[in-house]
Amino acid sequence: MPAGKLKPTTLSSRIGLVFGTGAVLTVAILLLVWYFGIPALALHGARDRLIQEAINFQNQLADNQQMLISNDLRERRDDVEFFAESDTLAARLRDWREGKQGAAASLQSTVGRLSERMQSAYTDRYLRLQIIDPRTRRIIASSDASDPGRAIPAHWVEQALLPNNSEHLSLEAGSDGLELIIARQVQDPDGHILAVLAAYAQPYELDAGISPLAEHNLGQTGAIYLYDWQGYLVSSHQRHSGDVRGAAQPLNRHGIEGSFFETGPNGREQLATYRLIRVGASEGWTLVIRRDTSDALTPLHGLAFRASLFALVLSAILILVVIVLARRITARISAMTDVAEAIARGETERRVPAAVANRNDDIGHLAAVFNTMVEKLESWNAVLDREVRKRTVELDAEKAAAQRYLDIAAVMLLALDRNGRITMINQAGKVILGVTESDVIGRDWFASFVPERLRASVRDVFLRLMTGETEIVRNYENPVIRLDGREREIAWRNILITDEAGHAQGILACGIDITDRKATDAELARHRAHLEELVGERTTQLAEARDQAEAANRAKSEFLANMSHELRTPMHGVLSFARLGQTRAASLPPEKVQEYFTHIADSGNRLLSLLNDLLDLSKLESGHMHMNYSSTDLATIAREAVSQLSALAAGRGVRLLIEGSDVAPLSADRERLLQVMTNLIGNAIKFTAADSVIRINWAAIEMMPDASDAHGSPGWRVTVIDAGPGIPAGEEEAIFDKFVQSSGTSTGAGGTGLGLAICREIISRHHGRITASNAPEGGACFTFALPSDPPTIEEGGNP
Amino acid sequence: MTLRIILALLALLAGTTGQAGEYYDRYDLAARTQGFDIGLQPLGYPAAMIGATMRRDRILLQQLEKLGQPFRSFAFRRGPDIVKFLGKGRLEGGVLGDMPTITAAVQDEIDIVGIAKLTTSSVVSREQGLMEQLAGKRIGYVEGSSAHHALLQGLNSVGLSEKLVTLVAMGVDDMPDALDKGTIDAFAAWEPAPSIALARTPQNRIVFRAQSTDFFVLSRSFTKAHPEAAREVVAGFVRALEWMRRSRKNAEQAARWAMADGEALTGKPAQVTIIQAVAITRREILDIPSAPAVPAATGKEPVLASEFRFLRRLGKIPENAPWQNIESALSYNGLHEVLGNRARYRLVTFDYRD
Repeated sequence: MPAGKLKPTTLSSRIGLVFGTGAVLTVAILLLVWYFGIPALALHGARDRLIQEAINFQNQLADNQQMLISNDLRERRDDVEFFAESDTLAARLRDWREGKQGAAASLQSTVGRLSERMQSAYTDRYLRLQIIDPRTRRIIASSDASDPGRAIPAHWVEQALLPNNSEHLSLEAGSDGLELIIARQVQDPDGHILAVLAAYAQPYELDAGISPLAEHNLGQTGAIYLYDWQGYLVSSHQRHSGDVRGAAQPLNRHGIEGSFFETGPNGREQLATYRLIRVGASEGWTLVIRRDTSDALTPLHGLAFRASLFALVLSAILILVVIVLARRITARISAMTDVAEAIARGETERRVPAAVANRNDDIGHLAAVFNTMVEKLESWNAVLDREVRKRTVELDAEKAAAQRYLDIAAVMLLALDRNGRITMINQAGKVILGVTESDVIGRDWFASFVPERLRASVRDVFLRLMTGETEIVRNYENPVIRLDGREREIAWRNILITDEAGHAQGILACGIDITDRKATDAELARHRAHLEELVGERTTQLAEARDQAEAANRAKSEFLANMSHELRTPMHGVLSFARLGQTRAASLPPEKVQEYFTHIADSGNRLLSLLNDLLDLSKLESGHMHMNYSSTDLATIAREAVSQLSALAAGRGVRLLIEGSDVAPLSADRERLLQVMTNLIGNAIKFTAADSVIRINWAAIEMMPDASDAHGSPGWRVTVIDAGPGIPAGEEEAIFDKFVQSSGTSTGAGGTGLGLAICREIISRHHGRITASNAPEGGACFTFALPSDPPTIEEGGNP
Repeated sequence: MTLRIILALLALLAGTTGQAGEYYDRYDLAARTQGFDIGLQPLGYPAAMIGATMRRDRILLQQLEKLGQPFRSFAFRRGPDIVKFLGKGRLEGGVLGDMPTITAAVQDEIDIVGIAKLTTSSVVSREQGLMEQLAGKRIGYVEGSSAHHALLQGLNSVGLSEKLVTLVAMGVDDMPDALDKGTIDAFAAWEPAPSIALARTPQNRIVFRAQSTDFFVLSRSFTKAHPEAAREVVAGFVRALEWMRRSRKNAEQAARWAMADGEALTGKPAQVTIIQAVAITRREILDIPSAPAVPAATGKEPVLASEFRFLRRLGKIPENAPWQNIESALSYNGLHEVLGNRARYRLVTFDYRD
């Protein structure tokens, strides 16, 4: 990521945001603390200080006004006291009381002079002076010439005349507004009241006592009021009062001093300061200074606004500066990030640039350490890689060794994971299942190798085993399906595989293929169960075998008998005629001797033929006769056999008729095939009556050696049909046995009884079949079928 | 063994504490049928100066001697201590604040002669400028005193009650020091404690003042039994005020006497200066022309009515305390009789011993 870009999620922007937020919050908090303070820490804010200043100012102003008003009153009272205690005045009053002539005028003159003196000293303060007769309440003398003689029935006069009230102050309504009346008793030395001296004065004017500074500090809404002890407004001072001059709020508090927050008539909060001004022995006058609290805080509000604005601007500048600085710092961090990302991608040769790493600060140190770390990691990685490879080789060897140990076992060792998948199988298991390892590892055991009829139940048991709902069944038998679909019965022995916490992770199963054993056991059971039956069957078989043996023995006996007969007969002929020759050769005519030699030759030939047949049959049965296959022609062989036997046939008056094709190529042993043809045709001649025809036929066929074969092989079928008596029923097969002739043979046809046996062996060696039957038109029908190309034949070799 | 030692120490401590007792326990205040014993407060101004002047008035002493009522004065720290002995034949007169005056009057034991002070009790704070800022603060006070009354007036004026502040009972002369040390945040007291505190630092300021009055009272039993002697005492009281009014010099002398009496009581020099003492006295009694006459009601509540209700609410006096007893105490005519016979009672003749 290029260091120059600024994304919303970059460190620099986050730093800027955090710092900015912190800065703004800090500034806001500082502003609030500055404004409100922290009361819990006795830290006063600007607001409190300003209010305190306002309170202090108002207290000070109130104290000043209190002092001024009190002093003013004090002065006035002192003035009146001074004049009331004047000896001159007292003398004049005594004269007047005594009725001395001119005393009234003198008294009036005195009062006039006093008044002038007071007027000249305090301009406009005093309105007039009066001397009042305590007995009549009438004015004796006055600065106002019209007053003498006038009665003053006012209440204040009575108060001023009380014996213990040497001085009395009151506010009374005059012709021009309120008038302050200071009345003092003029007493004689004995304390008797001679008269009451009353000084009428203007009430204290607040305006006169307010300094310009105080005016300024009163603000826009400040006002000062002076009330008498009955709550009447004596004087007021309001800035910008307009038409409300003289109007004042009612007095809220009486007889107390202090500063309070009050609600003004306009609903705004006001700071009100009260002061008592002692006037005589009464409650006195009340001085009240009021000012809207908000007015007092106006300077602060403006300052707070400017401070806030400045703080915001400063915060914004600080945020920008921080972001710029942060970007410079994080650029180097970004460079490190780029390198880290490259290394993560595999570019392990990357390092943090020297421009970043060589800086002598925290990030430079971090970058240098980062590079060192990467190099170390690379080195460790190489070492680790080598170790891993080494260990992998070792593990593979161990695994291979372990697998060999497993494979050595003659039983199936199988491991399943929690999900029933195969994780290990040994060689014996693979053999049992007919699989390779790649076929099974990872496959679902139950779906692949458990018969469907058992699959659901077995899987259920396994799953409950994995969840701990059931305990493992260590020994049981279950069938499995091989890969080829065959089932094998397996005796299992299982153990549970658990993790460190004891949770089931799979099973390890040991299986023994007991299929054969079970089959054997079943067989034994069947045998045990049917032993008598088997014994009976065996007995029957033995009887049959005995019969067969006896039959064979009889056949052998008959063969021996026949053989001996057949051997003795020609031998007798030879020997007989030989003996005759010996004895009678001298005496016998040559033709007789020739006859005797002919018989000897015939007998000898016959004996030789018999011996040859015996020998051939013996070779055939023992397998010592080898067939010499070669390409030949069946038709040619047949014609040669007919040719050889034509003389015999002619002699018996039988005609040999060939009905086959001219050519019938095949691969066979020519001599042996000729032997077969010769035997069959020879037998037919033997059993055919004179003037009959023996038909020899052959045809091409498709041989089906096996019923399951879909396609046959080309071959030839040869038939020899005689016109003899046929084959007795039931002997169609027996006549091919050794030494067995049909019952018709025994009536004089002769033979060794081996010819057909020899034919069967020869045809069988040619992968053919020979059968005997009765022809529909009568006579026996001998048929043999041969393949044209017998299987696995080597040219000139043995099958 | 250890337990015995501990118990012994505890007993010793208790005994020591018990032996200390009150400061007035050493006074010979046994009840007697003859003699005029007066309780004075040399720590409060102007009562200290009035008392100091009266006890040095030879005319008074001689007149009482003649009447068979020898004069004795005893110094007390606070008015309630004086009230304990009034009307029981142990003290026959005293200078009391308005609260102890009401307490004594309710018991129908006193006659009020006249005012000895007409002033304000002040609530002085170290930094707070408003009463409402005293919420949660520690405020020194003398329970049941006029200053206590003033404090409650101030709290009530801003909607606070005693429950919202922490009241710390202490002697009035200890309050300025306690404020300086920070033991308290404010105090309610009468002069000179507020003036002393204000003079010490400009941070101290008065946040509230309310009127309070001291009265010169005589036990009803004495005024009834010895009316002439009572009037002589009244004359001595009036004379003292007149003498101090005569000149500043007289007032300063009275101040010195008062300071000496205060030091004799506390063992500590007075914390107020002579100038302060004179200023206080002039402001609070001498400059009131009608003094010592009790101010007449000006159409509103009678004198002491607000204070009477205050004490009843506090439970300092019984809820059914009769107001008539106060009116009866205020109806004593001794002052009027004396002022009406100025010559006879020699109100303008002065003879004081130093």
